[in-house]
Amino acid sequence: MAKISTHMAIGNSALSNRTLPIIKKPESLKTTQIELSEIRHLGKLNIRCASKTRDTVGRLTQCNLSLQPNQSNGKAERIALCLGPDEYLILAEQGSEVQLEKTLNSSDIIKQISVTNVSDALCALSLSGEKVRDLLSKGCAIDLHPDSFSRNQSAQCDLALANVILICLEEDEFICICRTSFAEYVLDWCLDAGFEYGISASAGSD
Amino acid sequence: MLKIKCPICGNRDETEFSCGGEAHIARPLVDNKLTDKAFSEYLFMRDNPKGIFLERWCHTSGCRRWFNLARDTISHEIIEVYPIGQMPKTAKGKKSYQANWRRRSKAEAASKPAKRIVK
Repeated sequence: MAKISTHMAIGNSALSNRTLPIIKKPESLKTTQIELSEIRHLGKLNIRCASKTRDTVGRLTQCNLSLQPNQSNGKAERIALCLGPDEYLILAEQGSEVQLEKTLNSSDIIKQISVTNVSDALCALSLSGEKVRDLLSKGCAIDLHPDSFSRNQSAQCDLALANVILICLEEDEFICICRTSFAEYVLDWCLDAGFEYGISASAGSD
Repeated sequence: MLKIKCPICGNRDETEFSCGGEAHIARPLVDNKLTDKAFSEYLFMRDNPKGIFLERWCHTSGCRRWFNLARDTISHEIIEVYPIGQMPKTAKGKKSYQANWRRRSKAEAASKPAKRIVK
């Protein structure tokens, strides 16, 4: 009997129903000022751990978890986010999150922590360009001024009624993590709201 | 719209939160026998004061954590935000806590362990 896999194929796109790239801009603009693309091949691990096990989890995942809620750190290949006093989200290269999950599951502290692989549940979109803050502030109520939302900060909030996590990588570079089922909605909203600035959406690289 | 200061995320719009109703409702212990009428005070009856009201709120679209909030139901002024499991610290909050009819209800008295009679 054939085995039926319930998992999406590795690197499968949340935007596979769409024909990308899409460019939306007024005729008066020569170039687009916002680039949107899906970050495929990104593993996501949700970890719940109390402060007494935090350092051990940080050592096992090679992340610095001494973060305040809504802060992030790390480089492009592994980013740690603090979602709450005892909740973390780790973004890692696809495939490495499975290894991290195994490492944590076989550790001594597994009975004190909770590890969930949410790679397929969440979709990461990369947004960049000089007008990206203007675009996001159209649908998001938090203060996105560079003075109050800068590098290494993140926020869980609503973007046009969809629940998202925004991560500021650089002044004009963001990651927007949303539910996979909301990815198309967020894409459509961004294309609509970003029309006046010129926006190009492309599929992530394979 | 209210601007609510989540203890974890800071100031956010009311639309990101959900209200969990009246705070500080203690469940009666099973050992303390209660009549159905007294139990219904715990289960169904909620306060609806004109003035300071102590409520539970959850930051549903953000950190998903619960917290308590003292709010004036006339002016919508938020008097105080304080953690779950703790008591209000401002004078207005304390006064509202004491003034609630629930403090004198049989259901609340039954939420504490019955005193053992030492022979």
